Amino acid sequence: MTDKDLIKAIKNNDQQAFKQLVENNQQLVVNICNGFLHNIADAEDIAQEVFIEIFLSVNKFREDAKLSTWLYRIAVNKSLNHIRNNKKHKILNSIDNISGSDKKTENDLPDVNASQPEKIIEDKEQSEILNYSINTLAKNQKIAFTLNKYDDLSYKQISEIMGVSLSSVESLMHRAKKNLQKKLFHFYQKK
Amino acid sequence: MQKMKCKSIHKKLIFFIDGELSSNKNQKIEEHLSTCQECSKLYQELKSSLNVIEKEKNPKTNPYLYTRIKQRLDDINESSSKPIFAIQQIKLFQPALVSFIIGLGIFIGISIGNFYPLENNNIAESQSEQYYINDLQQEHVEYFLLNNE
Ligand SMILES: [Zn+2]
Repeated sequence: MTDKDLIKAIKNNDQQAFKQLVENNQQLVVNICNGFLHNIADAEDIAQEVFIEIFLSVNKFREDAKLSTWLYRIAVNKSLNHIRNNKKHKILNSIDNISGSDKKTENDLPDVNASQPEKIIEDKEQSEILNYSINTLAKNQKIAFTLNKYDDLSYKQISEIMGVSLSSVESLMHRAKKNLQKKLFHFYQKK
Repeated sequence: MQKMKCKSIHKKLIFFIDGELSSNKNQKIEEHLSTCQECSKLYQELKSSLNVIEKEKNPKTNPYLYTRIKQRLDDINESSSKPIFAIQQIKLFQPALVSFIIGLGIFIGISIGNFYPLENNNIAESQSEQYYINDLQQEHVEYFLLNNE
């Protein structure tokens, strides 16, 4: 079945077709979400929400549109929303900490069951520095960079998902790399 | 001179790693990296940072994703069945509610009109003043009605 056939079938409430759509695209959607969230459990949770939204709003989907563009767009939006809501959550947690509550969140737990603790910590620090640097890029630079680097999407695909021209994507990518490099150099100097 | 060159190399490193430079520039950078320890170190560090992306890419996904989605959809269906019915009930009473509010409005309007007949003149005066103050505003219909009197 092509994507168009699947969409048509889902519009007719065909559960089997929906299952097929999920299975065809789950790797793709989880990848997109993980590119932004850097946490598999969160990425899978958000991916579920993406497919639920697809199912609930399938009637609004235009016949001539591309399914993958639609999937990517919802995945990007939901991931960014999740990060934004999480920030609020983290601020609340830190307020909790200040006010003397000693509740520990999962994030605070150290990675003790690792066989090579030093190596793991080094890797972890490195990925934290990178994620932080990417996360603090301007929103559109972050989206373009993440879709290109984590998901290997072409500039053409990115331009369709973001609804901007190809030359805009080129410029976003150029600025993203320049700024990312600057941010990373800054971290190296601090070491 | 050497410092100057290093700075310009630093700016290009990420594009060098991504293979976006001309072969001419590539060669110059390679030559520099082979002789300059500082730039070479920075290059290694940047390359190692960016390599984190490659390691994190394409995680194995949970094979039961659909089962969990199905479960959540069923939950949504169950919990939404009651509210939808409630909304329909409100809709049923809506025409009656709207006509009641309109009727109430008309009644209040008539009552105010009867109790404050002089108030109308005051409103007309203030509107004509407003016309002179705001030249750019469109002329009020009420103003012409007043002038014709
Ligand atoms: Zn140098």
